[in-house]
Amino acid sequence: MTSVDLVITKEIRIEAPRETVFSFFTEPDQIVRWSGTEADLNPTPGGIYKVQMTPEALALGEYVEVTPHSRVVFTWGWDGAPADGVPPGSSTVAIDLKADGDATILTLTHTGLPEAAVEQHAGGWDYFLGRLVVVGAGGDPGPINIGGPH
Amino acid sequence: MQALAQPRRREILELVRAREMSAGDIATHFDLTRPAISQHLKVLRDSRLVTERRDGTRRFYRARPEGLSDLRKFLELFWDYRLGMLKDAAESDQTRRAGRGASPEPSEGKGDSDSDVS
Repeated sequence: MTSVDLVITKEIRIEAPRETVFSFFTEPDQIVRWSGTEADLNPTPGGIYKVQMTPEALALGEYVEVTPHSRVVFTWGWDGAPADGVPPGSSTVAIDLKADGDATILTLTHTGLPEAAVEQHAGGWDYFLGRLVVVGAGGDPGPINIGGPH
Repeated sequence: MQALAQPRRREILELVRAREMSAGDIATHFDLTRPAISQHLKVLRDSRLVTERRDGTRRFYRARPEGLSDLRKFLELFWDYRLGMLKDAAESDQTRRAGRGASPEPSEGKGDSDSDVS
């Protein structure tokens, strides 16, 4: 125990087979349906992971491990983020898929996050947090502007 | 400013996470000079990851727990939201596919109110 690792873990059950869920992490046409508007993906170790999540937020990284239908690991960060934010390649997202009958249990583990991002970008997080809450409640949060002053 | 890019600083933060410690006590845990420790503490203090309390000539440090909470909160919600969208999309595919063949469970893929995000 030498660090204050910030680890985010999520588990979700999806009523679809692993093959389907897997495609949402490796195929551009599929990934944009849940994660953004445009994507450039090369799902092989060392291959690019580039997803335009919002008009101003570009997620960038590289695939680390791609095991068909069971595991995808990629590095992840925001293009243009400072070293103490979450810059490209600075954190790692692992997706594990387990079959549960006809459904899939997806586990997401996000590690390697730079904790220092917190204070400097607190305003930015709060802003985005507010948007997510609005969207989650079914509202329209209006045009996104996470790049500019607010 | 890269407060935590340096492994030593993460180790210092870990040390003072649960309890306040003096700079001298912190230094005994590392094979570093006192000026080097002081420099690390200054960076952590400037980035507001630790608080500093002075008592005479001694300085005490403690992690600011709220320093870590915003990023966690953001990412928890971020992934809840994104995975919720992934679930809807994958299940709507599944419903479409099932609809072409034998459909064991003719449910609406979209607007699934019962999200399993935990």
